[in-house]
Amino acid sequence: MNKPILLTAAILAGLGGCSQYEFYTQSRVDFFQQINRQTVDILLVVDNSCSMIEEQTKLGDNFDGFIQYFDASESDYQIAAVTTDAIDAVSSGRMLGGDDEIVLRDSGGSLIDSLTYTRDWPLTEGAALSLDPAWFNPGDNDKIEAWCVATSSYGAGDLGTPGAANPVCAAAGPFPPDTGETTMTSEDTGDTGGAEDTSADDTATTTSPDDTDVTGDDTGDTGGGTATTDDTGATTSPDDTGDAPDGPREPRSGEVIITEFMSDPAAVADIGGEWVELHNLSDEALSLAGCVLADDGRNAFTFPSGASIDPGQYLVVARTLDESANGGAGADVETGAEFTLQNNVVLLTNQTEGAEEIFAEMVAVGITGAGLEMGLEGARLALSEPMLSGDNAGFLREDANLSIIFLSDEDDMSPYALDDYERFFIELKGDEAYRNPQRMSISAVVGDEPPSVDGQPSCSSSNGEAIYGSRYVELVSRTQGQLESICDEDFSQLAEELGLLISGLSLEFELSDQPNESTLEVSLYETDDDDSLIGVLEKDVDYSYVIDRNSVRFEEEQLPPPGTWIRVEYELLATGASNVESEGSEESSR
Amino acid sequence: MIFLWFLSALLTLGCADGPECDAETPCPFGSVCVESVCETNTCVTSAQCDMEQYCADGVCTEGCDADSDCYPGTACDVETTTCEAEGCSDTHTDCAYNEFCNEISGECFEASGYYCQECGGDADCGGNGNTCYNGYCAVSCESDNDCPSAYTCIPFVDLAGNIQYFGCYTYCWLFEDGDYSDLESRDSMSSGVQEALPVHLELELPECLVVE
Repeated sequence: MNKPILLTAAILAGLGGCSQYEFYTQSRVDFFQQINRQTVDILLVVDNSCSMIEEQTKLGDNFDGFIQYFDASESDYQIAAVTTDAIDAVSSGRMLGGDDEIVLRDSGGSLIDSLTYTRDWPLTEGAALSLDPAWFNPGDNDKIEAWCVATSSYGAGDLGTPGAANPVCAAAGPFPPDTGETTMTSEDTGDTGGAEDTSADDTATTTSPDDTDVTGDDTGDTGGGTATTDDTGATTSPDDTGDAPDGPREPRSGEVIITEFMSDPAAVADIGGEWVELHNLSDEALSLAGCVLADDGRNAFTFPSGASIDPGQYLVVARTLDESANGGAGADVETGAEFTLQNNVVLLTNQTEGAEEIFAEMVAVGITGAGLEMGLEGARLALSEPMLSGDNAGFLREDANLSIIFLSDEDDMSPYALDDYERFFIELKGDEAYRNPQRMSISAVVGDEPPSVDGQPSCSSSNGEAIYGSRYVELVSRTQGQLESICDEDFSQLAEELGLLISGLSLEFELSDQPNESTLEVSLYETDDDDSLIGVLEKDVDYSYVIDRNSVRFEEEQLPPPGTWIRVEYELLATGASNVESEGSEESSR
Repeated sequence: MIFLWFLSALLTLGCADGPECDAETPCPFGSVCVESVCETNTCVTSAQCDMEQYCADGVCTEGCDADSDCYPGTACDVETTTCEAEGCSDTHTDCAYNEFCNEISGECFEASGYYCQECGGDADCGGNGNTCYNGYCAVSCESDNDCPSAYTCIPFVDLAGNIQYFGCYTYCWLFEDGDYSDLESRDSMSSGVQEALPVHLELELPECLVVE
C-alpha cells in the first residue's frame, strides 16, 4: 500500500507499539489484493478405457463452468488433453485434437463407410477436404493421399464443392495401385470445380480399384467396423435389406461413401458451417432414414425419415440448413449439435472460436484405451521430450502456471514412485513451484474416498463404480490441488471448483482479527491508492461475513476484479462477545 | 521509505523509554524483534525461502524445520534441521515397478517370485493358484496390497462373467525390455527427457480379463 492507505496502516502499526495501544486496537484495517491476471497451461489427462464415456461427456458439457473463473480473472489459458493410455510408444502423451472419425452405419449398426482423419491431414481453416474422384471407393477414402484441400469457393467464400462433383486433386498421391477399371458417372468426376489439374485422364473416366464395385465385396478395408463384407449376404437383391418393398432400400456396405467434409469453416462459425458430403456409388436410390452418422465418441446423428440419396448423386449433411449460418453449403440434411467435426485445434485458448464445442470433443477421448491406466505416465510423456517440442510444442509456456487434471475411475498404474512424479511435475516450473503451489498443481476427478472394505469400489454412481485413486489422491494432497469425486452425478459444481482453483481467484478473504460484525466496512479500490476508490460495498448484498472462517466472502457474480484491492475496516469484537450466527456462515468453503 | 520513516519517527518519539519490542509488543509486519530492536527481516515464513532452507528469526537459514522445506522423498529431521531420505511406507505410492515396501526398514525391495515371469502354462508359475495368462504369470492375490507396485489385483472372469480367481497383473510386456527397478528414475525424469515405454502392441489388456 502507499500514500494515504499506507499512512493509515503505518499509524495503526506504529502506535500499536506504544502506550496508546489499547485505544487504537479497537479497530483494524485489513487489505487484500485479488489475484492478478494469470497465465496458465492446463493439461487434462482423461481415462479412455471402456467405462468412461459418460464421465467424458459430463466433463465436456461443463466447459462454461470450468472456464468462467478464467474469464473472470482475465486469465490467459491454454487447455490440452491426453489420455491415460501410456502403452503406445508412438502416441502416448500426444495431445489430442484434430483427430476425428466420420462413420456411417445403417439402421442395424452395420458399417456403410468410415473415415478417420488426424491432424496430420492438411486440415485448413476455411477449406474443405475433398476426395479425389479416382479414390471414390470405401476402401481407399480413408487414406491421406486420396484427399486434397478444396480450391473453389462456394456460398460465403469458403472453399469446397458441397453437393457437387469433386475436382481431381492437383497434388494427389499415387492413384490406387489396383488396376480394375470402373467407369464413373459424369457427376462423379466431370466437373473439376476449379482444380488446377484437369487432365482428361483424370476426369470423365478414371481407373479405380476393383472394390469400387458397389456390391458387397467392396468393403475390404473399412476401418474395422462391424460391417461384414460379402459374407453378410450383400447381394443385389433388395429383399434382404429390411426396407419397405415400395421405397428405396438402405445402402449396403460401400454403396454410400464420404467424399468431402468441412471441419473448420472461416466464413461462418463452426457451429453452423461444418458439413459432410456423401455420395451414392450405386445405380439406385438409397434410403438413409435410420442410418447413423457418428464418431467413436459422443456424436451420433440419426437420419430422419425420408432422407435418401439418388444414384450417382451427392448429399450434404450440415449442422444447419440455414444458408446464412452454414456459409451457403446448400445442405440437404441438418444434424444440429448431434454431429460435430474436430478442427485442427490442439491447444484451446481464450481466443479459440467455438471453444465450448471443441472442449467437448477434446475430452471425448474415446473408450478404446488400455484397461490399466497410467495417468501419471501419460502426463509425464506429454510433458517430456520428444513430445514436448514435437507434437505438443507450444503447450508448456515458461511464464505460465501449470495445472494437471486427471479424470479416471481407476487408480494409477504408472511405473515410477510417486515422489518421482511429484518432483518431475513440480520441477517443470522450477524450484519456486515447491513453495508456490499456484505454479504447479495437480487436481483429480477420481474415486476420492478409500473403500471401507479392502478391494471394494471407492464410490458408485449411475454410470458404474470407481476404484479408489490412491496415487492421484496423494498427489493432489501434496500439490494442494482440488480433489473431486468421479461419482458425482452432476459435474457442474466440480468443473467450477476446478476452474476457480486454477484461476487463482479468491472468493474469501480471512480477516486478521475477530471483528464486531456490525462494524464491518468493506471498500473496493482499483489500485493501492486511496484515490482509486471504486466503491463502498454493502454487506449481505455485495459480500457476506462468514463467522466460521472469520472471512469476507464474495459470490461468483460479485467477485472483485483481478488486481483490485479490498479494504476491510472493523472494530474488534469485545472480549467475551460473539457475533450472531449469520446466514453466510453456512456457506461452503473451498 | 515513507512507511519506515514514519514508523521510525513514531517509535522514536512515542516510545523512547521502553524496549522497541518484546514478547508483548511485537514488531510491525516486515520486521522481526532481535534483542528488543525491530529489524527488517528477509522472511516471515519458510515459504519465502528456497527449498532446504527455513525461516529462522526472520532470516532464511540452511536446513529445515518442516517436511515442506524438503524435496519429495525426503523429510525434515527437526532435531538436526536437515532433510533426510524418507523411507517408504506404502508399496504403491512410494516404490517403483515390481517393488514392495518393507515398512519396517523403510526400503523398497525387488519382488521375488513369479510376477510377470514368462510362462507357457500354469505349471510354469509355481502353483499356489498362480496362473499363466497371455504368456505371463499372474500371481494369486486378494487385493492390490498383495501385489508389487504398478500391478493390480485383477479378477479373471470366465466367459459367463463369473470370477474364477484374482491375480496380480500389469502390462508385463511393457517392462520386459526395460527394467524399471534399475532405472535412476528421478535423475532421468528430472532431465525432462524420457523415452516412451518399450511396447509390444500385439497384446491388449481389457479391464476384465476373460479366461476360457
